[in-house]
Amino acid sequence: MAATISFSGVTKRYAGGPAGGRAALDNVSFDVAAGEFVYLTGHSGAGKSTVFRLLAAIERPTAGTLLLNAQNVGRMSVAAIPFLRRNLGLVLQDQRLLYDRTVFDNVMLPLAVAGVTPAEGARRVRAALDKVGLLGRERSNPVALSGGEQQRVCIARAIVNRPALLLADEPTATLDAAYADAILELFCAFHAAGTTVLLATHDTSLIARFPGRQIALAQGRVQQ
Amino acid sequence: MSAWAALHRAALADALAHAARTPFASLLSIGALAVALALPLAGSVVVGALSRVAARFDADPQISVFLRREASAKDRQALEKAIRSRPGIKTLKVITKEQALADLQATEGVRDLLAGLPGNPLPDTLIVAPADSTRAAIDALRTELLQLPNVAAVQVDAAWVERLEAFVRTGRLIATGLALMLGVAVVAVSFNTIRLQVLTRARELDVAALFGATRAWLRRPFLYFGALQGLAAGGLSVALVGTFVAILNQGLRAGAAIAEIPDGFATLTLELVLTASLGSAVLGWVGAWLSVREHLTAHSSAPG
Repeated sequence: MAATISFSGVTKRYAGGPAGGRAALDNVSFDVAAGEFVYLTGHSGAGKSTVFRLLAAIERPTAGTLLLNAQNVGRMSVAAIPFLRRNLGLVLQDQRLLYDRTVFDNVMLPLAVAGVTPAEGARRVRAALDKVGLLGRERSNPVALSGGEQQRVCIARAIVNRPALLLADEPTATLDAAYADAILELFCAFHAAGTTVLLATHDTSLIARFPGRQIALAQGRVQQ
Repeated sequence: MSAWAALHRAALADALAHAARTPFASLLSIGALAVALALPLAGSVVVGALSRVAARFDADPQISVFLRREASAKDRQALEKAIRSRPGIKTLKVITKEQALADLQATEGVRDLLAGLPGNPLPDTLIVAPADSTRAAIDALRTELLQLPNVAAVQVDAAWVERLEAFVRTGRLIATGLALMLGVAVVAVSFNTIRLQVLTRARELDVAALFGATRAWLRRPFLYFGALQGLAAGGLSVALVGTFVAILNQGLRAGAAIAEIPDGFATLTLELVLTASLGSAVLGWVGAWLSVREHLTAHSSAPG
């Protein structure tokens, strides 16, 4: 199967870091095929979040090539980036929910920026909230929800565009085991429906309960 | 409804909602902008009125030749003949001292004043219109007329018109300069108002960018806000100046009994109204655009 994600020799060094110091990512190469469920593992500081920031074109690589659906993300024009992001389902470590808006409006955001009409958008938001089990909470403010529920709002926002690729950075980090399992079951369900999933976690017990291929990062390098 | 229309409708609704959330701040900005815009607008109205007055007299300058008071009717006829025989005279009109007195006596209020005077204080006057209205020709004619017998004084009516024209030119320059400076002020005020909004919504902009918002989408509600604020300020300044013009015209009509002032002396032309409102909207838009651009360049989830 064609690779959805392809890193080859990707290095990311932050400006202002120590000269000659360790790179956040150092000559990293790996592929993720379409339809795969892949864990990106490693301790914090291993470079997992940098992989996500590069994939979402929040940052550009210092060296190397990273392809997403055969598009060179590292060299993409600023004008093209929004359209790349619309095809990604992003669940970031810091949740980035807007606390002055309802759950519904938070999930609506990716559709609103794409110009989906309010009627069509409302239908799709409810479908996404239904999938994560929050249909009854659409009028709530995210602040009124538990940590697990907030994470579900993030997942609903990530899938509302029906992306072919879900990127989740430590989606269970702040949750206790029972909530974490429920979240993982959601990702497994999306995977079963054909979505490619790349999920970063430092929690090895989680992988034991939900097996999948692993790409292990340590100190910015892929461990063989 | 197309996606395009949905995007614009949403941006407009967003801008209006923001204005409604901060009514005092919005009204104060609009008020400050309107006062700033009213200055050059009022200046333009006054300059426009004065230039219309100047244009009315500009076409044919007149030379008034006043005779000495003791000159007789015969002297006057001789002078009239001498002037008529001279080349370069287009028309010559005689106003005898009796006619002048009769004209004055017809004017309310002056009659009583005249009744107190012994005899007729007015001289005979010849109104000469030169064929050549260039300044040099008029000056030459004036000198020549002064040397004729029985001429007490020669007054070129164009002189005050020239002064008025110079005044109008200066006024127009000042109004244009004010308009330019205050136009920059509109951009600056819009820039700052929008900047404040952008900063309070920075997180929202960042999240939206992360989920695929284009720069155009991020900018749009602010551009609408800037343009609407400018439009409202322009409209308010038109209302302010309109009131000023109405008061000015009323005052002038009261004075029209002693000075000949055309009706509707000062007018707020449609052209001025449109320039002020739309110009202000465009300037507000420009200020907003600059403000959002600065923010997006400095902080956004898009790599530089």
